[in-house]
Amino acid sequence: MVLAQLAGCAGRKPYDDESVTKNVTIHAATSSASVFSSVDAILDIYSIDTECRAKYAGTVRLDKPSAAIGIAADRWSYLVFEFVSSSFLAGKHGHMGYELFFKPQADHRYEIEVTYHDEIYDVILRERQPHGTLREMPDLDVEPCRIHAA
Amino acid sequence: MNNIRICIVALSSLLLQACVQTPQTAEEFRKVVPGAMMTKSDTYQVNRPMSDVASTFERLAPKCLNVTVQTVSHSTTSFQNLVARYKATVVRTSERVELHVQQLYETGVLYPSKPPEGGVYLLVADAYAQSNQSARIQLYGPSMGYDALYRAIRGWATGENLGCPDMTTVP
Repeated sequence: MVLAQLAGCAGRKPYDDESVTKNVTIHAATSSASVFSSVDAILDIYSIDTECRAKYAGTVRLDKPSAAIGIAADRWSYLVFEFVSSSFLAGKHGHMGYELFFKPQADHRYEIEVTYHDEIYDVILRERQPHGTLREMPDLDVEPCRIHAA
Repeated sequence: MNNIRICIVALSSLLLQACVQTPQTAEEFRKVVPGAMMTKSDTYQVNRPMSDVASTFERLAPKCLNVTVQTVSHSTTSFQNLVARYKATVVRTSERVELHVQQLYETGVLYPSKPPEGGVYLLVADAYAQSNQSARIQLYGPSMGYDALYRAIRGWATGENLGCPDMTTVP
């Protein structure tokens, strides 16, 4: 949450693939509750070093049904999905962040499903097994690795 | 519109404090809700084993509800910046599984009395085993403005929707 705020304050830059292989595909589907409101989804990506320090790597705007990106394998990354909702009539906007600790394995592919419908959002990370099946990956608690901005 | 919003925040978040002594525990909250303004208690049954409901609460409540939310509202004449911290606690007892949701505004709201540790009690959901394959959910909370939170809890209880509520949409 703190990191999301840091990125929001410092300004974002487009994410440059850290891996030549686009090993992560993100499927995004968002819809707002009314025509007078909107929801945007974005993904901030941080690389995590062995001392749990996070370095902002860039942002992916999830404004297309799917996007393929390359995230460095065999190293922890910290993904912060942010949903920015705006209500035109109320002149109001809000930010919700969803954080994910992630360590891709080399030669594996991953799919992330991001949804926001009727004010309910979800982020599901799946790993595609070598034989093709998808396995949902458990959430990893960020707290044991107390992340600090590098 | 901002005035309406401020009223909703004041009424829904602080209604219990404004009317009665602020509940300091979930049990006090359960007792206060039936007679308090702008609150409701509700109950429904889900066709899911109690143990599954409990484990879903334990998995999703911290992930979805231990959040800090910022909402900014502005018009030509006013500006409002609210930062609310939410805290979810799941308690298993021999009788039931309890989900407590607390809310603490860090900016933008003045509390008439000191809120309990973790914030004022916003919602309590208790799950009781009905049979081996069903559970009863008993809810205590605000009567308006928290539809996404109620729908999310129902989705967790039924297992049909495991998403998180957008807490920026609550008052």
